[in-house]
Amino acid sequence: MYGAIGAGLAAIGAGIGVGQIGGKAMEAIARQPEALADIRTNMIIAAALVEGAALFAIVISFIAK
Amino acid sequence: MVIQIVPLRKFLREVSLLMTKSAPLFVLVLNYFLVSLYLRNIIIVFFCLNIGVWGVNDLSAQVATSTPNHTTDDHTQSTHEGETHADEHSPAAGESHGVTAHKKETSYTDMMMDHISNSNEFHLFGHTSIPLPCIFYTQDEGVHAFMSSEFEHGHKAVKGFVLDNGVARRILNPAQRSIEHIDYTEREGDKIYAVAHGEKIELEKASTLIGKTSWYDFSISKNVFTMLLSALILCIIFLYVASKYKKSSNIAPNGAQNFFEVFLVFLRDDVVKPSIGEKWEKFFPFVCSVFFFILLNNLLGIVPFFPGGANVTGNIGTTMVLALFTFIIVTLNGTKDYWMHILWMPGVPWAVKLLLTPIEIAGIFIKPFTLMVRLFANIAAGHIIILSLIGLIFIMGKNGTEMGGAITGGAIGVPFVFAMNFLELFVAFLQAFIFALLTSLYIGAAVETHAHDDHH
Repeated sequence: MYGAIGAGLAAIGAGIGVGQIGGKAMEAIARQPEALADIRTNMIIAAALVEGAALFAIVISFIAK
Repeated sequence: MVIQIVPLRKFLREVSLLMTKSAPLFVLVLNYFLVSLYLRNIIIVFFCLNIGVWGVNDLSAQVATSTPNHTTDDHTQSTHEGETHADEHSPAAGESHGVTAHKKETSYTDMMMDHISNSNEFHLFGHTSIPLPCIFYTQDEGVHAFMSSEFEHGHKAVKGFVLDNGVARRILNPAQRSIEHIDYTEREGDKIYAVAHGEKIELEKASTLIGKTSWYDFSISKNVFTMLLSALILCIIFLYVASKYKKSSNIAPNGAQNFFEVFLVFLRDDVVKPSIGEKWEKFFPFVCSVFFFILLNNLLGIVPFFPGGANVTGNIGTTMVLALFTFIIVTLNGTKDYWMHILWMPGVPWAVKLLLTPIEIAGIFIKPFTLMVRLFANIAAGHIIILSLIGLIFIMGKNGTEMGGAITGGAIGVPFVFAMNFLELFVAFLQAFIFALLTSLYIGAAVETHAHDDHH
């Protein structure tokens, strides 16, 4: 039960984080389409870092049940 | 209830009229998903099959495990079939008890977990499954090796081992290991029991890397089988593509070679070269192998019937080994610069260095750990979502006792499963790409030589 709540909270956090990254990356690409490759790589790195934090939370929620 | 039967010809004419009117819309929607005409048809058939087989598979599993607790009035035709089938498998039970063992109702959550976990037999449909070799190392009795068909789908104990929902487990008490017939297995909290002749026998935990058990499972399980199969497929494909390049290096590529060249060029120019830098050629084969292995296993995981159906990349053991390889390669190829940046970051005040060093050291392990969990969580979560949507049929239909509920569940679940399958198709590619990209970024950080001096 608590694990499910924890997983939900982690999903909210990751959603906000990845949404921000994606949105800003879109803006950046729209402004400078020629920098697409660089922006994409950095976007994925940042998204991976955010997701990493959320994944820790999810692993802990697995353990906590 | 009166059912109005529309004359077939009239109905067909109306449908065809409607189809011709809305055809452009259909085409637009379909083209939105896929470009090629042939590919489109194949994928639609594939997904319909996918959903159908998955549903039938689960239905048969559910019928096979559902409880005949109620009076005979409640029994559906299929439950009877399931029972008689079970009887055939255990003639001894029929003789000694007169009635087949009444199984406890398994919760849908348990069934879902069984579907996404590894197992010792390859379940096809109903009571049919492909037997796989079981190889058990026990600390007291040495090695046991036999085919999983000897378990007779959990109705028989072999050398002290019992099959619980496809997963082999050992009987805990050595005195009870000589038992041969098993009625069914049931779960109570964390513990699993096999029930034979009304007697409960406790079973040991499944063998894992962590946690002590008196035995270890080295079987060619469902996941191992699929991994070997995908390795074989990849070898065949890439040896063929490589031979094409060798034979005709200056002719334009065609066929499979053309198809894979897209991936290879993308991996080389957009993933490996920019992130690793000068020494990219040394690490390109590893990144490519990881990418195609993950991609193929993700795609096989979406297919619910025989060659697929195993949840290889959604198994934390598989992703752990993949991440471990990345960890070893990064650690062994780390330059002096890389280690300096971890242990004693140049260009920052010493107080910050004290703070940074533990974080950076933890980072060495956190990076592969997140690689492991990311792939595992994404693929396993996708499978769980699809299974829960399929589960609506059984939850709303109350395990086949309410037809209306089951139809409603199906009507809600199937479109969502259809949509989820497209998302899973995307995730299969995305996760393979992310794993390859992050692997090459970590390698790039390790092998990079800084041309600059200590100004950060």
